[in-house]
Amino acid sequence: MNARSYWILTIIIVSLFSASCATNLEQRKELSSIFPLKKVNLELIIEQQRGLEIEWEDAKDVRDFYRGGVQHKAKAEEKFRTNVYSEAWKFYQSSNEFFSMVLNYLDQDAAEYFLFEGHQILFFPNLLTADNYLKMGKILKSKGCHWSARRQWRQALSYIKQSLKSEPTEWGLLLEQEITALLKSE
Amino acid sequence: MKKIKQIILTSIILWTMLLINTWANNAWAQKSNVPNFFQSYTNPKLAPDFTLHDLEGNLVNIRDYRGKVVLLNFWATWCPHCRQEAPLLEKLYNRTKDITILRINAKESKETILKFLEKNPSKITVLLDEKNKVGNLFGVWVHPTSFLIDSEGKIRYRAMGVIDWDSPQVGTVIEKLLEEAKK
Repeated sequence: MNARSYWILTIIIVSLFSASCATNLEQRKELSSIFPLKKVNLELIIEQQRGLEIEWEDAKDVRDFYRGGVQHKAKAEEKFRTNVYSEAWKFYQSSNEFFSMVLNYLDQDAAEYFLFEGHQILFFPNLLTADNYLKMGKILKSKGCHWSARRQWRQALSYIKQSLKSEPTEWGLLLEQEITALLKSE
Repeated sequence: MKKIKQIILTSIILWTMLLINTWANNAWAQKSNVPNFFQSYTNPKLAPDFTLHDLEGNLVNIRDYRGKVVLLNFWATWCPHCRQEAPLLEKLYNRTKDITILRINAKESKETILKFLEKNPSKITVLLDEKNKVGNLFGVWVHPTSFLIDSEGKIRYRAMGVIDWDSPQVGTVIEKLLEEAKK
């Protein structure tokens, strides 16, 4: 190998390494901006909206509708855990009705939604809608309605994409993985 | 000349429409007996249970006020509308002792509130909600927000923003709750 080829080879190797380092840094940066599951999860969101119940007729503002959506989701989760699927289905549906009203006005998820001076809440209408569709799909699957279940999961995926675009979360990524696997398995 | 006539005619029509609209709004408010700044509830629910410290260090539980009409007012010292509303609440407090007024301060320290009250004295009980736990329970997202709770402990009305608590309209609503409490 002559000196010229040696230098060309060295430059290529160094540039390849530096490129790979840059990619790693970018990836690491992306990973660090993802909100971990312990900071953004369903239990925390439900806890923040616990208390005075909001009914559809009493909701006057986007924040009321969000509260109503979360509270109905909490009821749905309870029924889903105890396998009372017909009741769970009703609450998942009403929860999504609340969230769809929210999404008409605010379609971005946020881990630090500013409610008022010095007070923030977890605001995830997209992700919660997606989680509702995921579970509605599971209910349909348990009844043997595989095609309808797939339809619910595909809808869930579109909301997850919107959620991850506005606020990347570990929870969102996990849901995405789960739904993708469900769609592949069916 | 024709143009002037047209302008006069248009303005007369607009003024008439405005007057009809105002009259219709007043008629609706009188008929419903509830001012439109009060939000009533379809199925009034029990107020969430809570216990908070007042500025003297006493524990106050909302359940201790069962049998009484309670006005809960969520506020903060940094909130200009709350400062604007404070004297109006004070007027109501001075006018009647039949209604219990509790002012719940959101996320501020006792020292901050005491400093504020030195300049803006008040006789109304102030409760400390330093972590906004009670604010969360009531779903408060704007200050001031007030809730009128009946003698059974049920939330009957919500009002957001500055309310003239000394106005006859508000007085009618409070009187109605007080009458219910006597029955």
